[in-house]
Amino acid sequence: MILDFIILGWLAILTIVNIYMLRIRIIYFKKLKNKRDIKSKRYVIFEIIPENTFENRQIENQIRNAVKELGGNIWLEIANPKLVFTYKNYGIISTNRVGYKIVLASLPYVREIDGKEILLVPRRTTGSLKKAKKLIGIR
Amino acid sequence: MLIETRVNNSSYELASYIKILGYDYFLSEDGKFGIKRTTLKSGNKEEIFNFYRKNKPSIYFVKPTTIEALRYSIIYDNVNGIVIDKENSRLFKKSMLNLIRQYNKVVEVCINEISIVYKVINWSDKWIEYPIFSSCASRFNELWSPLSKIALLSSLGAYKEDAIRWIYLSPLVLFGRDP
Repeated sequence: MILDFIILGWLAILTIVNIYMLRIRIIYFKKLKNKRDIKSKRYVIFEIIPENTFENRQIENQIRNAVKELGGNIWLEIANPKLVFTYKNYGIISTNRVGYKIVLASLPYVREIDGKEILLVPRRTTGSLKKAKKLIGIR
Repeated sequence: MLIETRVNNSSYELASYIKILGYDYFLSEDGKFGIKRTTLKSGNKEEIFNFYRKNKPSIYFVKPTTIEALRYSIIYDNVNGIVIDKENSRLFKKSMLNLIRQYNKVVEVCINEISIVYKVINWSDKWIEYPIFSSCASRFNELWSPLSKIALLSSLGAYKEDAIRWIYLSPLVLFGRDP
């Protein structure tokens, strides 16, 4: 009987201490830094020279092929570049903070689209789509 | 001041695209447009000496194919820079790299050759003070913008500050300016 009370008391103390520690957040899990890097978006503004009209799908495919040529499949999966849209002779690529450099570096590898010789020139990198739109003249 | 340090076939069209990319000047092999530069591929030191004496090129690069030619082109003052690529990268041993450091020689590499670019980045810590990364473009769609060059160098492991210095300031050494 006495032993039962002791065990019950001990368990009660443990429960109270655990609740207290959780409340003051002594036990916590450190967030992965890399995860935060991958989550944060980057928008690369580029210029198409000379001015031409292509389908967005064609441009995106060529950019993805260029990233694959330079960095391989691993960097393609990490950077995961996607063409958001094109406006006049400017375009915006969405990528992340880890992979935006490889996207910038691989743009010169896009040398032709649909049989026409072109040059993609990176102009700016921004952290928000709103800013990117503003920079290329969309209100 | 941004300078594109090597264009193989210059034309009016190419010159206009180079301006659009943001470069102020460019060096061309044929000298039709831009500033003329001369590259000599040679294996012996007499040829390097005689070529300069006869032609007096304003910007003189040498691509050595033997150790003797490499040693002479480092020591010879009139050679502005040494070209390194897959053919002659095996010549760049520790003794030659020490000589490059001693004479503060410019080393040029085409940015398309990623493996050589990576080697030069590693050597730049200790031996190569002024590396130059050129587009080596023959057509306008082979040109590299300065931002792409910096991004490539920093993704290959160079410090961002160094990459910016190499692209913006190293080419000024060819014109006698100290960056």
